[in-house]
Amino acid sequence: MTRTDHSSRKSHRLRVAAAITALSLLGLGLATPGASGATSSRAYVPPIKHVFVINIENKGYDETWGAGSAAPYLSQTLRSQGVLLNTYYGTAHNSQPNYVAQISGQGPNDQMQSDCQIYSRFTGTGTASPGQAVGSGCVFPTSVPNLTDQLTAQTLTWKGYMEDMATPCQHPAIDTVDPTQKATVGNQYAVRHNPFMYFSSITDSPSCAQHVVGLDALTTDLASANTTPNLSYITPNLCHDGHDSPCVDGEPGGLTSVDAWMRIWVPKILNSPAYKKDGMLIIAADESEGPQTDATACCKEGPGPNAALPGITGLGGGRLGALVLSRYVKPNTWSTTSYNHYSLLASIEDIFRVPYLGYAQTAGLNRFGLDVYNSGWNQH
Amino acid sequence: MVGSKQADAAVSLPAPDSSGIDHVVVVMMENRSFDHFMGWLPGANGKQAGLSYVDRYGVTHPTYHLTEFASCGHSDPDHSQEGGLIQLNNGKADGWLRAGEDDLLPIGYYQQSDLAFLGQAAPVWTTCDGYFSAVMAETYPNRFYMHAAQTDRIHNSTATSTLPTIWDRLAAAGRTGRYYFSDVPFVALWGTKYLSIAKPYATFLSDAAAGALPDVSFIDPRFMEESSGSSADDHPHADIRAGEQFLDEVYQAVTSSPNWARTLLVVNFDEWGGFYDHVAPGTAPDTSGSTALRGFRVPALVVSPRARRGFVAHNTYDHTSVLKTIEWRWGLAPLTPRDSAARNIAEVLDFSTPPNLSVPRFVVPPFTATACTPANVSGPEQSEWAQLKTKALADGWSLP
Repeated sequence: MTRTDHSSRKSHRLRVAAAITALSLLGLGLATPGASGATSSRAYVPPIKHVFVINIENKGYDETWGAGSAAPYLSQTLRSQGVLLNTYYGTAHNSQPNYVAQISGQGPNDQMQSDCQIYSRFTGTGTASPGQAVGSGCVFPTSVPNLTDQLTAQTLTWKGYMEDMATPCQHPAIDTVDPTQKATVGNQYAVRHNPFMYFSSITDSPSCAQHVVGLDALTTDLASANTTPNLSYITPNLCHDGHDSPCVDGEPGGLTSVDAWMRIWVPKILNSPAYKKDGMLIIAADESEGPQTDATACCKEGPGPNAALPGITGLGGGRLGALVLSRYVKPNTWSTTSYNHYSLLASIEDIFRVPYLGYAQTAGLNRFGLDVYNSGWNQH
Repeated sequence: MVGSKQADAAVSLPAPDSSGIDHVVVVMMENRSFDHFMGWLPGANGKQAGLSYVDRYGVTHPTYHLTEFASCGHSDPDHSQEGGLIQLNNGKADGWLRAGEDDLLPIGYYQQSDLAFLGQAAPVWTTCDGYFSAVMAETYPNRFYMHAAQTDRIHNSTATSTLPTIWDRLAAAGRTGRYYFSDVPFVALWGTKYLSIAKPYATFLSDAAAGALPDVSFIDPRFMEESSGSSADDHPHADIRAGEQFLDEVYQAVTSSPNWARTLLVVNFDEWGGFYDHVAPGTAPDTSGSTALRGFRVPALVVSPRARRGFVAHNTYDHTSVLKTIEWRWGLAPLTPRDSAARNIAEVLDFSTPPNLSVPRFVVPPFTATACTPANVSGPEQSEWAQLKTKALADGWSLP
């Protein structure tokens, strides 16, 4: 152990202590959206202003990124342009809690683990550290903060782009069955892959329809940096995210359809003024093939207050890998540091200079550092 | 008496039969880089104090003297191929604090007084400061290079290998080779193919004492229990005093053997272990472009009546340079383009003067090994030795 190591731990403890103090001062809230609670300098974070997140479905590391990948455009062409995070893990099984983790740091409960078959109201009994709402159910009350609350408080912009969503902000009525659990021809939107629909602060807001929109809007919004949100969170439909195979409309699905979709949409992002100027694109998966295949965890993930085993058969969602592309990333490089969806949230919060929410506050959790932002941008 | 003059590439080796080398003994340790372990050696291209490296969060840390013999509580430094490429950072060799879960262990170093054997042996025998691990990858790939001049895997795994080895070459030529192991036999990765040439380490000691060393001997240290620090292979978290004691025991056995007058002993390390080294490795001819990049430098010591005393050899070598010596000595065909193109490490020897049979003896003090709380192993380390032991037992090996 060295002096510097101690001091970094100390600063982390101070940050955690500050967060706990903030919590105790708020009767209901689990954190203060937009409050400047983070004390670290974050000098390792480049001046990224536009973040793009794409998730594919149910693919472990070897299947997506291995030598025999059925997605050559993704695993070879795109991979050669970015840094591959080969120790990136999902946080839960099944799908829904992984998406929720990425935007809020909330861990799963049993209904979330079952992908919220009923679009139920979350019933809370209290809170637990770090920043966890204790209870069960799917749609969190406004007292449970998420990344979009933080961004809005900073007058930063965000949108969710959901392929096949029929109407903006589409979600079931509260406490009713979710009809999008199974794809139909012409409608392969899945609410459970759209985490914004599980936060009342978003769904109850009149602006929801401006924020959570169909995928087609992305093409228009990418036309200029001014019309591109600071956070673009993109979910392909149940066919193009690889979830279904074959798909209900006869497409092959799986990684084959993922690859075809990526060939259309990723160049649009990479060629956009916002991405070129100061953008970062993360391509991840929500979870491994399933709890029976890989439910391993990383990054100090442990039992949560609402789920002893976040991954049903284990502590996590398995090893996935993730690709990061940016002008601040050196092409065709590796990061071997462990990350999960909570790390991704913390890293996005680093970029936008807002405090860490929920499990993003986990002591010792890795955030993207110079292993990811490895272009040498910081060297003078 | 440290010479900086490198062994001349133009030095012509004698006819193998009249080289005076009838026994080659190789002992391969684990996971230490040259600068980290040997950077103190006078006359060698080593760097220790005064370097600094930037971590993942942009904080600069200086290299420092390690004051503990074991590395309890630290992460095992990343030494995967991917981690090695991060450390290499396109030739800058400055990514030592940006791979895996690495803490500050990778930029710590040991000094001469910390090393009871190498601290005394390196200054009086021949040390190579241009000896690289054969491939930018972890243990198994590098150990495959030691036996086969190539690897069939880039990460540790226990699939049975079919690669041809130096043992096949020796057997086909009617020469004798023996693999001596302490606890887990690496050659069990070939199933039972080499069962007949594999012997326990105790047999090495008795063979040496009896003057019954074969033409070629490979010796492996005690691998098990790396996580608790009680192995003797120098792999973190091992207490390095155990490795030093083991090396001194091998050294005493070889130099006291009736075979000593005609023996070449090479001590090397499989790979850099994620520890810093300031010299960027390059590529070498190979069976595959994906394994052509060598790993970082490792310590390598040459002991023989033919060895120069107090000498540092600067030419570029890797594990296949030792295979090259074996092939040269007994007229064996190369295994792959790698050993075919390698420099013969016998070129560091002095064939122009009579053999020098004198042997300095070292005092290696007794010690009580540090025991770490066993750390959780993850990644490639999981399959390193426990799984190979399981495989060996399942295949019918009987182990000590």
